[in-house]
Amino acid sequence: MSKLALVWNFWKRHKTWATVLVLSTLVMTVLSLAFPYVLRFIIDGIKQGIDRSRLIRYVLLLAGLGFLRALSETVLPWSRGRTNERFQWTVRNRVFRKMMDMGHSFINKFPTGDAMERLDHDLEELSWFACSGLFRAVSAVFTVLFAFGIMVSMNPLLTFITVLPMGIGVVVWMKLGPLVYSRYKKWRKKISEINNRIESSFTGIRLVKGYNMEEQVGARFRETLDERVRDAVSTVRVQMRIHVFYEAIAEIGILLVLWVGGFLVIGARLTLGEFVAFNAYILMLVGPMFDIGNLFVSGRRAQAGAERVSALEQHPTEVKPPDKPGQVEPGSASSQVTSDGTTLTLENVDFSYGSAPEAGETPSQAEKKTGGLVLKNVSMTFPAGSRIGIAGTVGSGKSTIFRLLFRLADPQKGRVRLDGHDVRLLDLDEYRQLFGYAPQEATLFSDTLKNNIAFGREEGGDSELDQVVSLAQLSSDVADMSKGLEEKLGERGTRLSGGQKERVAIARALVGKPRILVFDDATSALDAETEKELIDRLDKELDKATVIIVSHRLSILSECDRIYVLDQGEVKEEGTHQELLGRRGLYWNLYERQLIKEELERL
Amino acid sequence: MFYHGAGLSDEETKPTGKASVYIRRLWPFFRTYLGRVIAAGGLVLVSTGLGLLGPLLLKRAIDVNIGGGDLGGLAVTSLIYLGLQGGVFFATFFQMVWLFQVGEAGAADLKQAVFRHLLDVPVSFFDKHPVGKLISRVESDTEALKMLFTRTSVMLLQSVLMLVGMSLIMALTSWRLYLLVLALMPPFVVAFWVFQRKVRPVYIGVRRSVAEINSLVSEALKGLPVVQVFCRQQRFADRMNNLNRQKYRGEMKAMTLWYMVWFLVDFGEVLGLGLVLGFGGMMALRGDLTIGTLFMFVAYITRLFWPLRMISDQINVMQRAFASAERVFGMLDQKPEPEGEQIDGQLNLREGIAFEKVGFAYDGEKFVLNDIDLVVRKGEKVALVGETGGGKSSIVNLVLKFYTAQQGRILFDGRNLADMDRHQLRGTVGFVPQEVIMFPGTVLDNLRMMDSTVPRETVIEAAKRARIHEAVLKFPNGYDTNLIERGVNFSLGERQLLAFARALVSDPQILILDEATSSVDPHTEQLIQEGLAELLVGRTAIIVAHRLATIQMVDRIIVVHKGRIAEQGSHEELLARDGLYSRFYKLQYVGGQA
Repeated sequence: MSKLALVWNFWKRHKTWATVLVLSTLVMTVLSLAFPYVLRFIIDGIKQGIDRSRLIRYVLLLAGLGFLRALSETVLPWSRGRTNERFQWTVRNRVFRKMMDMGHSFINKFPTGDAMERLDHDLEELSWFACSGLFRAVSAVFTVLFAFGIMVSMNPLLTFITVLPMGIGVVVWMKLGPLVYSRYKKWRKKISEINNRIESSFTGIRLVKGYNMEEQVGARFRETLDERVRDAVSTVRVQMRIHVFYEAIAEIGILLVLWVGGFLVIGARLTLGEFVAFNAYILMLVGPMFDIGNLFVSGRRAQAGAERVSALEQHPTEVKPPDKPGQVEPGSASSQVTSDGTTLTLENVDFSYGSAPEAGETPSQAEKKTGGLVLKNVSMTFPAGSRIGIAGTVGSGKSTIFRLLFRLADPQKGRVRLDGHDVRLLDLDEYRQLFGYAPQEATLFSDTLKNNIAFGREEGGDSELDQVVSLAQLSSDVADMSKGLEEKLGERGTRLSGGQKERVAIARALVGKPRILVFDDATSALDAETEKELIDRLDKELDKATVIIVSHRLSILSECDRIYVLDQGEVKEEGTHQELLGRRGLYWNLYERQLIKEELERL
Repeated sequence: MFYHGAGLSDEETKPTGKASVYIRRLWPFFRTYLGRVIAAGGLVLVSTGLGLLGPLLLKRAIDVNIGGGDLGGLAVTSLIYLGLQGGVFFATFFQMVWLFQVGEAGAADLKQAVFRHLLDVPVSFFDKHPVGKLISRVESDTEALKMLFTRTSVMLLQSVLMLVGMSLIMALTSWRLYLLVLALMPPFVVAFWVFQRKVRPVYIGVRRSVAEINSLVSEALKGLPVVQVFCRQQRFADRMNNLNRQKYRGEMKAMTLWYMVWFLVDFGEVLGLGLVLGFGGMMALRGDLTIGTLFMFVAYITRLFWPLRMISDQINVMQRAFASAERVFGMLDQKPEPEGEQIDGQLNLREGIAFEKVGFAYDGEKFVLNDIDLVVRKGEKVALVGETGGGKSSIVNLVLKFYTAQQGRILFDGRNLADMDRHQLRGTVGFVPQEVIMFPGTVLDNLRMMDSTVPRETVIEAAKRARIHEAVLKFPNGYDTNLIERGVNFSLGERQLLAFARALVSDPQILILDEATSSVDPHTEQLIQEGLAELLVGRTAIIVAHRLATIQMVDRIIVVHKGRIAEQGSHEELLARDGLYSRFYKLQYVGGQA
């Protein structure tokens, strides 16, 4: 059961609450079971012809008990449900927090939809088991034990005869339960297959139509649907068999009470009240028998759920913060951040995303994936206050360089240094605070415009916000929005154009006057003029910051202090714009092509 | 990255149409199974009816048999009880299974109808509707409708039967005691109704929280690098905490309401029992009532409130089902692609395809093609060259009749494409789109496009010619390998080859190829060239070309720039002209891609 560690740890931390739950379960059981006991006295009383006031006292006692029972049967499941929700809340919070520190291997392993599913349905199922499932079983055990005791005290023979079939019930459930589960899984699989078919057919609608395969695709869909109906019905058949079986056990119990009990009543070895109470106890035992059996099935499902949830949490992160605070060089981290000089260097860096080959991959592909270095022996220097350009074709490794600079990943070989210090020894948050970053694809979140721009660096207040909005040439766009900076973006808010998104992302990069600004091809949706204007203004305002920029535009690259040209993960050329052009190599080639592109744009 | 919250807004819509209209339109889907439905309905009558007799028998056992000390009679009563319950189980089992079967089968028919109908709807429909939404139309909405025709209707029937049956039995045995029970009911009916009203918005709120949690997870994961560079991890965790709290509160509110009703039912039962036992007990003491009758009332009271709750629950389910029905029929009411005129026998391209002054806009306003005049003669191979977004793919889309041009005509041997039967037209065409889509199923089925009449040998022959045979055989199951979603277990280059093989299997007169832009390793590049050469033999071809080798294989090059045909001619002619083509040539075909 160690796989359910998630659940046990939760209860270890909430021992008091567990005790309270066990005790109230006990109280509830006693109240429920007392009910038929009193009923018995009423029936026997009437039979014996007691006086009215005693009858009324009995009935009031019964009603009082009933009221308490109703109360406890409400409050207890309610608090169990509440604990389920609490559990869910706690675990989801914790797992999500851990996910926020994960790197690229996590994203590769858990596609977004999968991670969502795990945090939603799997966690939901697990949390039901964590409290409701467990304590229902506790309650069931109490009920069975007590009811059994009371029944034996009334008549051992009748108890034995009537309870016997119930024991069989538990055995049957433990046999059929797993069958239900496995069939259910098969059924669910068919449902996701249906979804896959719909998805691929609609995504590939042109192909479907182009090849006139509407009929065939339709026929395949029909086949899968039929299989699904078959699997669904076979699941429900077993479920129904169990359902009917349980009802049957209860009714056989009642039948036995009726017959054997009636026989005993006639022989005056059982009172009529006891006869009625027996009836009630039999009915009360069916549910708990089911719960006990069910514990094993739901436990297995919860186990699978727990594994799926824990997998998210236990995935290793790419980047580890320094083990001990002492490992941060004394005073160095903070002093580096405040000093003027912040020179970044990459020293002979090798990097690969290295993931294990997937099933079905041919060796050559796997090799390409694992052995293929994305960066090979890359060395670069970004002196404080300089403007450095990086050029290269798609897939040459530009964005990977930024991953290493931001410490989203650490290189397998070589080092990244900040003013000579290995960045792995620096406090991660303080180090990352150095950067302002505008990514290639403007990443915005469903939040207000203000929160998207300030994005947590709120120290500068509204005046700074206005300043970066104006710097990023967003002022007029903001003025056009009905709520200005408080406008909500995203799903149920305003949708921005590609150019607007890019400028929001640039404004965000500027907040907090970061020492190092990184623009990863962040202006591709802007037209050449807007872009030029933007860069020129930035240049004036940001004279002290280091700027690292990836761009195709020659006007931008030509003004860089130094340009690195990347090709297939290696630095092939470096120098100033003029030097590189003079070399007539890769850079010159890129330059020529860009010239044609810009010419074509005009034609 | 802003996508619409999963089905969120859908939940809140209320049906605008009339329920009777939906029921009438849904009816045909379930009529097929009418026999089963009626049989199941009959069994519901039997099981409910027999089930109600149980307490009546117990009363008889207590009053007549046990009271009279009649052992034989007791045995008879027990046997009747056994028979009765046997009947109930039998009826319940088959009723449930049959009904479930009918529901699943009916829903499957409905899913099939929606799915199949959408395959006939124009491509432009799919530009406007995200696939995720369509999946929930085909899947979730039909499921909601299934409930309407199975569970809901049976529950209602059963509940009403139980109420009426119990009332009759109780009233006939002791109408005075029954009136007492009856007096209890109105407050509960009101309470259930109020509960339904209150709990629905709470559930909608909970579903919204869940959707918000999901979209936060999705946003955070997609933007993870930005989150980390800006050290916003804790802030996102805080947002998650807030959403969790919001969900928790909603769930607790719903749960509290739910348990209040639960308490009410429990309490009502106790109240009823108290009243019956108190008054009934006194009547029994006076000798006006037998103990058996008292017992019977006790047994019925515990079953009285269930049907009341069911009825109010199911009314809610019905409302939601009608909202689903509206969305499902919204899909079924989409107009299919227009039917064209079919010619007798097989359609054959004799002369060629011609564009005459064609203008086209996807949205009817922003024209992406203007004044296109183009003739492709039978057997000719042409390449479309130009910038991304220049209009090359639009030309291809028009030839395949995926869209209809607003201006000008497209002629197939002089016949207007708009008047032609789309299946006949597409039957002459082999289409290789830019993104190679694989369908769930085996390699074999993907290559023969699910058409199981195509023999295996033909497929393998085509795969050999497309140079993909070796790669397929690398998998242990060869052609029977099951492709996981979108064929991710083949490399990009290999998928291109698979698409060639697919086209070869269909052996089309006209080939339309939208080349993939991604670069591949030299070995695969060689295979692609060989495969393409095989594919081109003896066919008319229109190719959106991205490879140098490809433009060297064609007869004529057409330069499409900003929605117009800018230049055309052979490679040498165009290069000599030193116009747009020579620039594209340098840009795209010499020395890789920028």
